[in-house]
Amino acid sequence: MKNIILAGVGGQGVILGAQLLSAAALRAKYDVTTAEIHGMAQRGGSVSAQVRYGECVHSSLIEKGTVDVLCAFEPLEALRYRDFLTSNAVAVVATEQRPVSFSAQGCAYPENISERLHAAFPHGLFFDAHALARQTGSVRAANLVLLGALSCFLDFSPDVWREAITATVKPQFLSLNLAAFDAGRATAQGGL
Amino acid sequence: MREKRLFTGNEALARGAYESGVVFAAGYPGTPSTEILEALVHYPNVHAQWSPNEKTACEAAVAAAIGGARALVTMKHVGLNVAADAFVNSSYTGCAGGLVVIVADDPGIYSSQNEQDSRHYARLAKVPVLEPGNAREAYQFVLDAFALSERFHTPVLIRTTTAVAHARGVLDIDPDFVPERHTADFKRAIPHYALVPQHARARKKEILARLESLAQVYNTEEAFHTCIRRPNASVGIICTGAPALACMEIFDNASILKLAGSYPFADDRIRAFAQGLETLFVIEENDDFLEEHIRSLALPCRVCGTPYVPKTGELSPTVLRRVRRYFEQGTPPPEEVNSAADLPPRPPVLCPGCPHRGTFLAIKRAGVLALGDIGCYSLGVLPPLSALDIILCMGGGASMPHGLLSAGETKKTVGVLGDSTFFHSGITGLIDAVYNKSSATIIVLDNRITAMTGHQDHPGTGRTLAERETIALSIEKMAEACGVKRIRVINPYDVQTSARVIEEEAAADEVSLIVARAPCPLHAKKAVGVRCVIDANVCKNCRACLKIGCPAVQVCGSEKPSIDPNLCAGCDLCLQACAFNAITHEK
Repeated sequence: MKNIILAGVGGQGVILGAQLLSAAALRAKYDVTTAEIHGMAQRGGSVSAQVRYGECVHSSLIEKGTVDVLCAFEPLEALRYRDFLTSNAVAVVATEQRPVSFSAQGCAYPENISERLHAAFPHGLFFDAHALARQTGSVRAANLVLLGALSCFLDFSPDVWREAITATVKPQFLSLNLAAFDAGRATAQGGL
Repeated sequence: MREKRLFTGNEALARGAYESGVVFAAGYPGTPSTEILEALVHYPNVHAQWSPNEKTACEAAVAAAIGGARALVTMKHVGLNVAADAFVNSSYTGCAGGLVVIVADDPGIYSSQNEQDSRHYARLAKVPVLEPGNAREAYQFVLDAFALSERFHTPVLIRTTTAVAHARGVLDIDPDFVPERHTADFKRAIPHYALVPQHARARKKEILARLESLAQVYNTEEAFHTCIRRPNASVGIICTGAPALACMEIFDNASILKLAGSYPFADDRIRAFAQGLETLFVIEENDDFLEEHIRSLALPCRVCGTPYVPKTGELSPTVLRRVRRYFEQGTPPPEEVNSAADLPPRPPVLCPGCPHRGTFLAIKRAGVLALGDIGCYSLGVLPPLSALDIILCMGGGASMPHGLLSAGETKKTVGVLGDSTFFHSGITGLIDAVYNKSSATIIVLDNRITAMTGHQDHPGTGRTLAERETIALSIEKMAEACGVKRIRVINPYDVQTSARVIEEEAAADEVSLIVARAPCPLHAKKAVGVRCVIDANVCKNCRACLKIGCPAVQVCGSEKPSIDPNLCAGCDLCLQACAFNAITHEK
């Protein structure tokens, strides 16, 4: 059984990411579940999705301390899930920050975010997925860049991923999404 | 040919309803139930619709089922409060075609105003409840529910939760399956279907007998439970729904009885399971519905649940691990370290360009009490706006001001509700105010859609769930017909004018209706106007622009605020808030 958490902010494509990951796992002949926490995510809140795959999966929720791979679309959102990871879990983290909304409480974005990331995730792959997506053609494909990187830490082939992407995304965005996926994959392979 | 596909819990419920041959389906949007009908409407030969509220949805579906067609009703937990009259009485009428009511509970209160446990309604109405724990069960339990409903001529309640509704799982389906379906062909049976006292008395006896038959089904038929016997286990766990599936992983040393539904109580099944056990541990989300009953059975073993199982929040695997520790050690385990505790939260906020923000700024400027309702505008209660004083229930925004003012309140007071909630249950509150010669002012935040649940149509939009054009009800004309003389329409992006209108109407000694009208920019998929920028040379860093609570206006530490061009929708509310003209339109 593999447990994966995807985390980000509303609008970053976390839910689509979980859909693609679960579709790929299904194509790789696994049983798979996802669970989404997106109460009012459309309104700029934190969004996360939990994906589990294996021979047979019943419960879709993941217990703290049992996540094998974390894929975070934003550094602050990565830190929220630190306690869910096993001691040798891998964390794939996009480093571009999304500011937190100003509120009367005056909560500020942590200043030492980079140090905290490195301390929290000893097996971390931190890279600017959004910059890579911009180079590939659109910042909106950053979620596919991240999935490409994530794919290096899961045990099904890139072809299965490409099939799932092809079957899911709109045709006009397909080549961009596949290119983004490959770019993320290449980055992770270079970083290993 | 069968194939494996991924379905969310809600999509699986819709698939199950379609394969059951459902003919009529109705509901009112409510997280986490909304996507059931949105999925069902795409299947052929199904009439799926949004109703003005849960009660009319339920009434219509009951008639369809009495007519012999299979019918479905969907809603969130608080919606069942609204539909309760029709739902409870449908137990008395019974049905000829299958009648299934799906209610989505929200343990943990992710997106609701309370955490009520809908299983109590099953007991109240004396109908069976089924509680699926994942997408596969959601699909199967709908099939089972329709079969059970027709076999015993009873409505069946399906209780899902957020963890089921929004989870995906693999279903093995035949995509080309064509269900058998029966359209309505009403057979007259007045003593059955017409509830007057002499009929209802006779029906009550039949319902009690029906309940015993249903308990026998739950006691004896294999489809209604899953049992895992673990060798030498002295503890047995009784559980239902999503937490039951997690219990199977977490309590790997105990025997487990997962009931498909809590009610009617399967006493024989529970007694048989308890045999040879030292302890029966009842693990259920929210209320101790089963535990209380099982204690009353006086079983020859210890029965517990309380105090180990929390009665609030979601029973996630993490929580269940803690429940196990508490149960095994006898004392509550110490609070776990939460390394994320100091991180700033990202609470839901009104979107950039949201017209409600403008109305709330006007309400604040007018200095009136504001009594709210359920919808996106509930977010107006959060800082920095903090513009709502009471939020009770859907429709309450129309009814509450009259009550407060009639009780002698002298502070100026307005009610706030949305366009969808105006049609849902606001109209009756408005009638109450007019009829009783109130001085209440009611503001309808008309963004032309049911926004909070993800943009569903309603009687004011001119479109149905099936995307057919229909009559668009006019809020002003309805208010006029209700006897309202003072009706004003405001542009919520013009704060000064809106505030003046609100002041005038709140001061009037008769009922006023103000329509704050502007479409939801997220739904319209277009900006409100030209994007705004802050000129740092002019900005005095007074931070008035931050007090409108727009996510596009951002600040780092003590620096001057700036506007994120990717988020700004050009609504000009920050521009109106700036006293130094430091905010202008992008060139």
